[in-house]
Amino acid sequence: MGRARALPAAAALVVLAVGTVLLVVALTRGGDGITRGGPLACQDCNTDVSMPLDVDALGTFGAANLENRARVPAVLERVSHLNRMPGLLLLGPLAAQNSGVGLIREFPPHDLKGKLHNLPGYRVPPYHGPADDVDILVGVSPLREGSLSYSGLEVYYRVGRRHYVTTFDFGVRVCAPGSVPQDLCEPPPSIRELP
Amino acid sequence: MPFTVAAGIVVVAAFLLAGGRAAAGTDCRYGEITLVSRPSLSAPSPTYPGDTVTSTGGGWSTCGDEAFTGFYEEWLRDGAVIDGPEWVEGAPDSFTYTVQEADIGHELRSAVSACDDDYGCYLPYAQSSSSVVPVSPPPPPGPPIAVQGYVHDSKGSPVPGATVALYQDLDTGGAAAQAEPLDRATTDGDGHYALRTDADGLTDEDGFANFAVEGTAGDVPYYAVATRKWNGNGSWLSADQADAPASYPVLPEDVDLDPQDGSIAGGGGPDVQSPACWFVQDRTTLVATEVDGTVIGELHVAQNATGTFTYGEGSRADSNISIGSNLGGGWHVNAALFKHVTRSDSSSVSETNPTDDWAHRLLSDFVYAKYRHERISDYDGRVCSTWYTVEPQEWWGGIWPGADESRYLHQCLTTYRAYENHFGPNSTFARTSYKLRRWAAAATIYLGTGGLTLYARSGASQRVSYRYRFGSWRDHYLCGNDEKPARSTRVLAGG
Repeated sequence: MGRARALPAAAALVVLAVGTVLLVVALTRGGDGITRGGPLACQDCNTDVSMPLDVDALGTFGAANLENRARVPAVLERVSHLNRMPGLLLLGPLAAQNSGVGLIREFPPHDLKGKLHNLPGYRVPPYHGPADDVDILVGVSPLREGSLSYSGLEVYYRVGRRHYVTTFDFGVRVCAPGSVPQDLCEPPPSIRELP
Repeated sequence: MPFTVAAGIVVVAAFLLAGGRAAAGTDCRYGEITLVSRPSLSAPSPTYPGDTVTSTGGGWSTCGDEAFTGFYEEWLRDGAVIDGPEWVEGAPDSFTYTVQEADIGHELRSAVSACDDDYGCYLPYAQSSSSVVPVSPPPPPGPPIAVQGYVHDSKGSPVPGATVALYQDLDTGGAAAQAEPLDRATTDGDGHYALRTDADGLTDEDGFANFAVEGTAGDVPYYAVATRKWNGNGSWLSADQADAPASYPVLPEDVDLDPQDGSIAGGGGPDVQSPACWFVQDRTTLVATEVDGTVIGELHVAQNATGTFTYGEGSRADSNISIGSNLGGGWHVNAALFKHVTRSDSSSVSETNPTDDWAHRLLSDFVYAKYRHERISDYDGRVCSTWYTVEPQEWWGGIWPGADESRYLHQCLTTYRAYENHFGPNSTFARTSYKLRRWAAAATIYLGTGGLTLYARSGASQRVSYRYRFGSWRDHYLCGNDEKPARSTRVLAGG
């Protein structure tokens, strides 16, 4: 029966060991069990856009185009912007089904009234055709004069219990004031071309 | 009546002695643990180090159905404990062991001891009824598959037993030879083959390699080219995969070999099967070259906008162009198979629309070569078989508009509305990746063929890009033909 008395201590050691293993696994997977890529990934999609815009004026950028290759909806969680420059105000993000927005001079787009949704929690349906396309729309506005950009969007989402992040090579630049010549306001380089 | 009272006293006394618990029957002690069935093991067969062996907890019962508090589990190698004992709460259940190198050739068994509060733990441990003996791991896999597919006969049926060999597709200004194939295989019962090679020394600076697949089944020769891009991580990608990579590992598309009317007995080739042609030089000799305009893309621009298509940035081309082959029975072109052209004799070129509502194919010059291929015996210098190819060799430069495509203009809000993107005044759009359209009849090559039309496809890339600058009008539209402009194979313009 001495063996039976040792049971709680042994059990505690087992729990501690299992917890340590799980922690190590979580850390090696990127800190919080997030898998890169997944069914929304489009590794080679690319759009880079630009336009001159007055300080405090608003534009909308079609910041990612999502096609869900899973059989169940993907639930959007959040985004982060790569190489975002200070002075570039970003609004949203919003989600809209097949919005058609490239880069326009208003935010939010009045044509899409009633079709815009907050991104967190938005469910991207399985892709069967263009009607299932979902665009992530980001409002852009220069807070100061200058050339202001970000070069890509990381989209965090989940399918079932699994969490993913994928990068869209979609960049935008706005140049303030709006009188900046167009040829001095080039789109940001693709993230593939960055050092 | 006194007997009845006495019997009642006995029953009550027995109940109290049992601690007030429910009746446990007369033939077991309350809580006593009985082994019903020993644990059993399951594992992959054969079992290698790193595999997981799973043991059941075994079958157990307790007298009076007392609950199990837990169980000890352990693993034994040739009867000696190597892992455990470990305590697990609850009724005996399955548990696992990861096979170690030291387990190779030894017998693994599990053992379980079930426990409850009244009986303690069942001893001795119940060893598993079955065992697992791990074996040495298989030899490491060979180089990655570069090309695989099926060999068909003239009716499309699979050809088992065909010999298939993998060579480099050589570009030469004179003659060059390869002594040994990179790999050789025989098709299986389904006519399937797989040819493997590493990338060492085979790729250009952009990671591309062009392979020649030579095959023979009796009197029937087979030949194909396949372009591959090394992904830098141990795998080959096909041209499409290189331009539009998947987010998960996939093998390149099959390279299926179909008969092309040639005959080994008639002197055609390649013959990679008959013993006389086994130890040979696979020689490639340049016969002639010519320069031909080839479609490299297209540019569609509507009104109040300037579009520019740029090709060959960094003085490197980026086009996939099919080849022609004549194995002895006439010229053939496989629409699905390409050679990748990176070599260049030009710096970048670009075309900008000269007027509004301008949509044209764009062409540039490429050098095409006609090669004679021979398999020449190492033993006596005899030519075993001969065949010819016509192939793109390098990009020569220049850019000019080809066929008018203006019928596609101004359809972004109608035919292609599902793939439309809207742009505001003075905005700019650029794209530098994803595959573009495959053009049929992209080039017509003569070189003694009577006129061979080849397919071609460029990929938008760091070498090939689009840029649109929209004017001051409020609304501008681009659209794709099959996806949004960020990933469509064509970029069309105009609402």
